[in-house]
Amino acid sequence: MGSFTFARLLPEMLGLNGSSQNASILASYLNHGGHDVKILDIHSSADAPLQVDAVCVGSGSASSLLPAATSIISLVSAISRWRSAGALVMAVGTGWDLLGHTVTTPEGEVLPGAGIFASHADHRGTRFSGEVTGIDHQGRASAGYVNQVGAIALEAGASALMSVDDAVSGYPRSEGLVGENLFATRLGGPALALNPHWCQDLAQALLEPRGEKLHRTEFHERIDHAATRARRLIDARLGVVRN
Amino acid sequence: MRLFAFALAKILRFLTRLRGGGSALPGFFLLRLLPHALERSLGTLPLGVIFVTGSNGKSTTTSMLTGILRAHGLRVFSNPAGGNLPQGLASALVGSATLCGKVAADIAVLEVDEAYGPQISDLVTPDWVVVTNIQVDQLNRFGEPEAVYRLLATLGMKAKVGVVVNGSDPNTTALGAQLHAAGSRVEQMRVSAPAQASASHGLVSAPMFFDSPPLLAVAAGVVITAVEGSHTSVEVAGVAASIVLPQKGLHYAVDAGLALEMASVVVDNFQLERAVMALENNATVYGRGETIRYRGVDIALTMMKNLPSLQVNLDAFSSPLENVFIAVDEGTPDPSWIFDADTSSLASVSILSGSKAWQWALLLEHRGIPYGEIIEDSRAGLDAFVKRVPAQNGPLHAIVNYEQMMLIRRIAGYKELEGA
Repeated sequence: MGSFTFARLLPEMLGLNGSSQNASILASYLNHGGHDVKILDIHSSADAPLQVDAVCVGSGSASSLLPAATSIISLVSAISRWRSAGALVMAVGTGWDLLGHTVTTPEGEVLPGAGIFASHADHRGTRFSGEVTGIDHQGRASAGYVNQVGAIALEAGASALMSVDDAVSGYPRSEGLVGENLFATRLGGPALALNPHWCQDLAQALLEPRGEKLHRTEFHERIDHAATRARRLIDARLGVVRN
Repeated sequence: MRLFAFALAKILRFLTRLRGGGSALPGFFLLRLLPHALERSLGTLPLGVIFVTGSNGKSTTTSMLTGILRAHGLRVFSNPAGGNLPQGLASALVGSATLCGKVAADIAVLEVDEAYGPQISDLVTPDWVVVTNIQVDQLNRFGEPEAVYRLLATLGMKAKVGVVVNGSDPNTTALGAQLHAAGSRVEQMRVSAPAQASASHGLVSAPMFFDSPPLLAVAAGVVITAVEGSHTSVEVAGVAASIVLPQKGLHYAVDAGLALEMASVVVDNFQLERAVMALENNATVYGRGETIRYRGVDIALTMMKNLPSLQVNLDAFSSPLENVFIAVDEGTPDPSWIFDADTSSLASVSILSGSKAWQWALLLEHRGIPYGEIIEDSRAGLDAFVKRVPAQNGPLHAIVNYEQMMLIRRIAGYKELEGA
């Protein structure tokens, strides 16, 4: 059984509301399949190791945007190096915004992003705060809570993570971004806990290059069950009936 | 009109209380009929009006401050814990005022919701505003802590005399510095580094990022020098005192420090011994460490309004909790923050209840914390809890959100409600 190293970027700035805990959730998912995971918190380029298997970044608040943008720029060479070596990148909310191509601040200033994701964030819009539910790119029921300001636009050719049910007013139908070893979402908090099928995808993406598979245990069955029940309650609150 | 409005509101209050508990309805009607009722009744009190606001600790600080002021012989008008919106404040006024709207009080101490603070200050202008802290709280409502900062800055600017802040919370320190620079009088209470270290996670301030480190150039009137369990050491204007608070934990000590700071400023003949006695005899506010009895079993209620309140309460337990009852419902629209909590104080959970129980189950699974049954219905869950959990030294423990706390108290036969 293999061991993995995750780089969790700027958790002190980009760790709001459980969002940086997605790294721990994916680690726990792999742990229960018999794999060791070490999570390194990266506060500056001085902390950046030569190689990691996954890069995880969470979301932040308004006052974190400028300092986090500055810090991300200082980490671009490390992130690019990790990506070139095949590292998976998982980003939530503000972290996704900053790993995209550009972020437009509420004041209209355009900040450069790390350019990892084919997306452009704009923080000038209104805030959406509420539960959302839908079907992901592989047809699986998926849900969570979004609490984000403004909007994010995908570049042509980029694929959305999920399609949000139109029963939810005021939120775009398309949510998140997926690509080769790329995963991004505006579903806040521990999106992977509520959607363990995404953990499964990410675990597979990490294991396949090594010729390994995840050994599923009772733990995986239990979290699938709990997450399904939790998502069904979200569906019920939103008035969505799924077959 | 005034007489008619208060008479109608009082009749409404009587009727709503017949069914048990209280209601904000009388206050709602009073404000519809007399929009200036609060200012007319409270604005002329000789020692003025104090607002207590912030992310956490509002109810307890209000209760402690009220107790200290009463111990100095002052007649205090206050609102019940949780009744901190305009209609809740007005309902409290309906209960205390005469038909002419007169209140027999020297001073008002009002717990005020941080979002409604500016609006309430239009209904009655505060002389003082006490800001307890700015923590990560109700992000579904506020979006981010910065929004709370802006609301509190707006409210602070409206204080006629000044503002009291927690000078060890970097966010309220920045707020105090901003108001001080704008010409407001600012007083601060501070918590020493050793006292902050008494809780594993300190003061749990919201992570906000300022252009430069906030510096508030005002001497602290009250300093909390040490905290150990319920024992708190303070210095008030350089005079040391020891207090045994009714509850354990740094957060209660901070609330007491803010109450002491405000009281020492506003009371002419402030006497520390009286204040200490008042704090030691202060009754626990609803659900905040309160122990209720259900089916012959004592249950200590720990409220988790948000991450900081859950964390400081977990930090205050001297040993890991076993066989806990946890209940969370839609009153917590987004429980994502539970994944940021240090749950090392939770050894095992007996029953998970409420409509967000499955999200808690996911956290416990990933943390490897054993749990028993998930029973979404709160009454059934509580019944199963008291039947199945073996007796232990002291009460059983329930960790609940605000709405579940209110529901469980009602189920257990505690009819009085907050905001009455």
